[in-house]
Amino acid sequence: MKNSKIKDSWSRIEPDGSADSRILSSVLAENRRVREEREDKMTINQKKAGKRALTFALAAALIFTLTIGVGAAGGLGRLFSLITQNDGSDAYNGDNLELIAERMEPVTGEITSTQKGNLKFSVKEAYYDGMTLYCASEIETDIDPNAEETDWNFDIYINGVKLDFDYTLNARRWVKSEDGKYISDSMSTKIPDEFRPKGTGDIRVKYVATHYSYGGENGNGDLEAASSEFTVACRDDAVNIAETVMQNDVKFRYLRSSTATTEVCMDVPVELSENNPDISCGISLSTEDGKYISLNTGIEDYSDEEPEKYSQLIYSGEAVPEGVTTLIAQLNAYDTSDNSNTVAAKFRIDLVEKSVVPID
Amino acid sequence: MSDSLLRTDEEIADIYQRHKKTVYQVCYAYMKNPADTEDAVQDTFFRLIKSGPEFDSAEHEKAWLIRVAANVCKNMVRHWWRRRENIEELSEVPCSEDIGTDEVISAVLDLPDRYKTAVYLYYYEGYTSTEIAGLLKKPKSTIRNYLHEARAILRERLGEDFDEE
Repeated sequence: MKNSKIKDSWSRIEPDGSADSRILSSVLAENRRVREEREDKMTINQKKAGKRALTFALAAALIFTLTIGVGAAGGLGRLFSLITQNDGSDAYNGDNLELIAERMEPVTGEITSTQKGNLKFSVKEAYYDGMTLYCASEIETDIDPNAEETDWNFDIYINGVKLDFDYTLNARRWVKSEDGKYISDSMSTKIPDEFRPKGTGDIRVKYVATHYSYGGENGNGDLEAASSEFTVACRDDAVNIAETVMQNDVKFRYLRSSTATTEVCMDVPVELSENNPDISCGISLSTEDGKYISLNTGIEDYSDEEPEKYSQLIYSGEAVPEGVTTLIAQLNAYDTSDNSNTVAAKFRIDLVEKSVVPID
Repeated sequence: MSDSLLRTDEEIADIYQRHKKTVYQVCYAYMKNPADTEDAVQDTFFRLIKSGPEFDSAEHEKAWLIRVAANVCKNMVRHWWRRRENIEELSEVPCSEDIGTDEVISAVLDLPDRYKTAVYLYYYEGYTSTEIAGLLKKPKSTIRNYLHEARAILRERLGEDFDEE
């Protein structure tokens, strides 16, 4: 028992006898109503069932990655913009910190789709009027396509003030970006089958949310009039190398790279990363000819494998340039007491063979 | 969902009996009064009926209900926020009514909503932060932060009364 006072206090909270019977009888009444309704429909829908099963099987056969593009202009132009509008209310934020007519441009982020059609949305870093809003690991959320609503929570910092940002998509539409025509008004986060990628290459769709809320310590607020939209580019040719390779007790864990982002992960012994206040560790990534891949977000967490022995460093940033086939990932240990920099571990990553070897 | 499970009244009543107290407690943490808690509990079980999920175990069943109960409550609270400019008195609702609450539980109920389910699962149900992360489908680091921040608030409010063992 972690705190007996909380447990004792909480255990006294329960429905009284009359509330208990009221709830149970209304629940059972609802169950009967739904059963009757469902049994009526089942007779009618039997013919449709076979067709639906076939569609699902086709959809389940696809695994692909959607990539939210970089805000900066590139070959595909701006791929992601989130636009919000103030609804005029001054009380929509629990902490009364106003966010007005701004544009948020996530620099790096990915949406990953799984075989089941779920989406995992992650943003590594976002900018708000040029300021960094967010750079932590907690925005990643699995989205259940059958959920009645989709939300994800993360903290943002504006001028040092922390806000709990609770983004809720209460309405969403998939839109073909070429002509702006809506292709689905479904509440589902599933991409309609006909717009799933069939091979290598981009498919761009626009994802529109017409509602979001955010809150502070005093509660959540809603922006009814807010709108946001972003376009995602879908590709199925992302590089994903997950291989544990050890050097000097540092473990290379994985590298993931897509058209917009690169993420590299290493497990670092706690003696190096946590127990020594003078040492600060960081990962760098470069091509063999010494050109650095900009990794602008670094996250430190417990290792998922041996949390008592290792910390996990996850660095992410820009995409690997086209044509690059080999990368060098190294763990740098900076000693702030004498400003020295030691290479604690160095790995060569072959993007073609998808292999990793330590470099002496 | 056409492929969802249709349960008999007996099955639904069994599930209700098994988890009514848990669901009620989770809902009370958000709603803070018996009347709204009752609505939220009812709505949670309505969702069970409509969604008809299949469960692998009693733990899975419980986890599903806890997650749905928290979402139902958050939606209800959001709904109040949306209507707040039209219904002035709602600024005072929900409020704690006499259901045997004391200083400790009042401090817990006053925590920001996003901490409540994690705090309930950790302190009352005895789950670890890793298990809570799995139950609520949130990253472990998020849950650890929630608990850390909630604990700091409780220490500040309860002082010596909050003596974690």
